[in-house]
Amino acid sequence: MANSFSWFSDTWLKMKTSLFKNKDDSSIPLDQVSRFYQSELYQSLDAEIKSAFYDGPLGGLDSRIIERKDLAFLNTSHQLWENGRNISCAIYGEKGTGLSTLINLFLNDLKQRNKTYKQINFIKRLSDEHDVIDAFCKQLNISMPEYKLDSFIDQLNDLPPMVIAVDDLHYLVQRTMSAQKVINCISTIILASRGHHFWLFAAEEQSWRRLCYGYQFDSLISDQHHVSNFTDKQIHELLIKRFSYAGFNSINDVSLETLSPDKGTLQEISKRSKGCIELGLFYCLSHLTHGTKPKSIFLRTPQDIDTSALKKLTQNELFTLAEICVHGQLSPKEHAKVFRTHDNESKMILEHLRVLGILDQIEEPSHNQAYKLKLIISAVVIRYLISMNYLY
Amino acid sequence: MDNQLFSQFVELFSLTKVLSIALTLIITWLVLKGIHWVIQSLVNYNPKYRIQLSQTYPVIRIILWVICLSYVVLGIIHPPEAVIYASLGSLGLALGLASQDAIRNLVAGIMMAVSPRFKIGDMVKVGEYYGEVISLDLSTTKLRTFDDSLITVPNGDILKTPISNANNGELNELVAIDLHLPVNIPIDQLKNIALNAAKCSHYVFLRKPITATVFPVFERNFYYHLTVKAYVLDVRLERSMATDVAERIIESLQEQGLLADSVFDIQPRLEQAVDITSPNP
Repeated sequence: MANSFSWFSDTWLKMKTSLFKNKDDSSIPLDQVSRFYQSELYQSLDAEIKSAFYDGPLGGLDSRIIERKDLAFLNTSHQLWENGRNISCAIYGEKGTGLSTLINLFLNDLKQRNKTYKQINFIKRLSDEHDVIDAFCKQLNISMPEYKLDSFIDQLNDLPPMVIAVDDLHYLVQRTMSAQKVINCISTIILASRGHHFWLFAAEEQSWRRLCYGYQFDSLISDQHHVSNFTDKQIHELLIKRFSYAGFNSINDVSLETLSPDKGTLQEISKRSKGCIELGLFYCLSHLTHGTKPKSIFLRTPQDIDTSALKKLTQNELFTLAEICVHGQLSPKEHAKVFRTHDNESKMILEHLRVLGILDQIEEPSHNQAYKLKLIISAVVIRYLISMNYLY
Repeated sequence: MDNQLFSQFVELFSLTKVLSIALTLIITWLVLKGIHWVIQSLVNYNPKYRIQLSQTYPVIRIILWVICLSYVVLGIIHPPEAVIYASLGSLGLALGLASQDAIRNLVAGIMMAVSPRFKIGDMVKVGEYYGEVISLDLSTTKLRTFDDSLITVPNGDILKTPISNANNGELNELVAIDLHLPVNIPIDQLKNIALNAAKCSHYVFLRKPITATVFPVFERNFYYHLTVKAYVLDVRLERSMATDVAERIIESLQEQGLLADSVFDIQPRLEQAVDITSPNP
């Protein structure tokens, strides 16, 4: 009862805030956020700030805060497998939580301990058994005159025991009739070799959920671990490191060392970042002005992001966004297959979303053009789709 | 005697009292409008909880009107006890005789608000009508059917009729899709295709189970009766999901050549027939 009351009052307060304020003054349009790095404001910023606030690992610092417990989970599972337990594990978390970084750290650790491992990165969506065996053969250096599942499994089990880390699991997700065949093939491979090899999978949360809800992928995995989103405090800490790296020693006349994580503009920025570091970086860059003293900076109170652009989208466009979140990315051909539309119609929907600044056009490693959600607004879009029941 | 009654009546309904009654009714109406607006805003803000939020309004409305009318009678008019009893008796008799159905519907409306058989947003079947409950008024319930017709059902009838509620307060709902298919299709393959087709449809709520059953039926000839049961993401998408899944099954069967000689292949056969009879070479 207390929970539902607090949910009701929280929702009402949020809604009241969003309804009774002047949107022109107090909110930033979604496309302004997604196109910030192309804006004049960003171009006019000092090079030292840009270098400190770029989206990637910072010299000497790790931009991604990997929790000890996440790495400990992988090490413990690996230890148990080495001791003879039949273990395979999966890690999943929201886009941008550092799943790949976590896997890289774990694999580096293995490398230092002279353990054998292979990292498998899919470069395209797997559409049949041939694709699956081909992808594994190429990355595990297995040569086969003819792709047959049984002989592939024999060869895989002939390899010395090792860790096989599979990133980008979203390439397994597809809402097409052939999806079950692909999952069946991978399941057979994992089941036949999981005692011998240590399988480690990493997937974005929405892709992982789809694989589990639709294809019971979790039944193949003995241990799964949710990599939680960044807390406000972690984002606060990271932003302070960035300001310090850029050479500033005070924010709004308070020195970096004495900044409280519980109040102030930086705390407000951390709170509004919704666990997404990219949003935190955006808020800092778009709200800063140089202070009067040298090496000082002023940060304006952050504004809300105006999601009215999402509210204007059609049902087809919202379903498209939901499927892009789950599939990781979609090319017009894939979109046409998923939604049973014509290629041109799919291209139009995807292009419209790109023009609105919600999607980015990218070239896949297999040289296909595809569309994916802009990382900077992914947390906002995913939360919106969940609230609208398009994602679950 | 008549003069005394008239003076009592005038005293009971003086201008001040009439104005107070009007003001109370207007305030109650405005408060209800405000509450309705707040609930609608909450629904727009978080559509996932559309059904739960919408259901609160009918209950709040009844409570507020009961409070308002009680205040008007006991707080503003404040009649002598004898007048109350006499009025209630007369009013009851008059209303009972003149508007049995209206009172019955009103009482049914209050009963339905106290112990609801369905909520606003539920998909229900009342008699021959199937649709989404869009409003629960004091005396009537309104349904919107899939062909966009508005059906108004008196609450009294609803209490007497068995109601089939498809989603019972949840946003997702079990939808059964029935297809009649020729018996030359292997059952395993058919079930496999049906399950995959349901998993592929973006309207399907994958968190809940999907099932496919096949029964042989004889009606002039043998055929398979395939039933796919899956949950739709939102009750409003029920028809879209059923069509999408059925189309995916048929397309897949055709792609695999399993429906080559079936009724679904009637269009190419018609075209062939036209070609044969065409006078042009």
